Amino acid sequence: MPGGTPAWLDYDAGPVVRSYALTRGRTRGGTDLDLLTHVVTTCAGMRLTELPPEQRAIVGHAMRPTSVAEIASHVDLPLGVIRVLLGDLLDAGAVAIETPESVRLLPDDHVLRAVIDGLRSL
Amino acid sequence: MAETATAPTAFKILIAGGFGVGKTTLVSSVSEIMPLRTEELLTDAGSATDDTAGVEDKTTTTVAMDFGRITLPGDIVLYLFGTPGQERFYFVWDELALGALGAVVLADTRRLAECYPALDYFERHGTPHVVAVNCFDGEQAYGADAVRRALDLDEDVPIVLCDARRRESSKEVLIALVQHVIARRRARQSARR
Repeated sequence: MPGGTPAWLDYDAGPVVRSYALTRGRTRGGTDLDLLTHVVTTCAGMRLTELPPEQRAIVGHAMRPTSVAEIASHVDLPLGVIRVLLGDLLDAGAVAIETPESVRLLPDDHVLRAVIDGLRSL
Repeated sequence: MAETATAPTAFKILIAGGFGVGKTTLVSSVSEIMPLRTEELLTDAGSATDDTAGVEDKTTTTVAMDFGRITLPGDIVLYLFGTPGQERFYFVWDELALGALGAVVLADTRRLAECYPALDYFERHGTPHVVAVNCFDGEQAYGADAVRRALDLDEDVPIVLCDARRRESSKEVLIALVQHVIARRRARQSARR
């Protein structure tokens, strides 16, 4: 905080580190990630010890395939930031991703009927 | 540990409607998890470059999306996203609607006009949708036909009456949506013949 006394900041003030400071100013990741793209930590990712805390949190939450939406929620960072960080982790080979076919293409009726049957049996 | 993420068959379903109409209530009543929250920065809207210039000056207002999850047999997972209500958040809607299975427009008959923006949006984007009239405390002065007339809704858009607090009722809304998706595809296929 340049000049003057820092203001008192409590939890309600929100993050003191601006979100895009974590991404070194980048607002776009290299990868097109849907909210339902699933992310899983690779063996190489598990061996990485020198990760910044945010990336480490992502890797920790993706031990099993987990959606981008859920990771963003658990790590508590905006989606735009998560996408950039995931792009970095992907480049580093620390995570693998897969976007469900069902997000790109409407599946056959039998899959949709399975959804209906599944909902009925809940 | 697999080196590729094996994603389930996952679907996005949008829950839209005016403020306080019961979107999060509906998500909560059917979700297997406590609704989670993701946020998107409003500064993402319209920034099309990797350029860092100006980022430091932008405000970091966020828009929140609450979502729930339903796991079904056959490795199928439904994600229900409550859409943020205001028009300036449409960039978030674009992201949610892309590849979505369909949308539920929740309506309150005391404030029907509040679901117009959602209806307009889904009509414009060709997103299959149903209208679910949330009956607060069993209070329902108007039937489905009256709501259809009031909303000037196409005959092929289903209207269901529901109580978003009840799991069974919310399930029926989702079933109506998936049935509509199937029916709509059939109608289009037969129109092409």
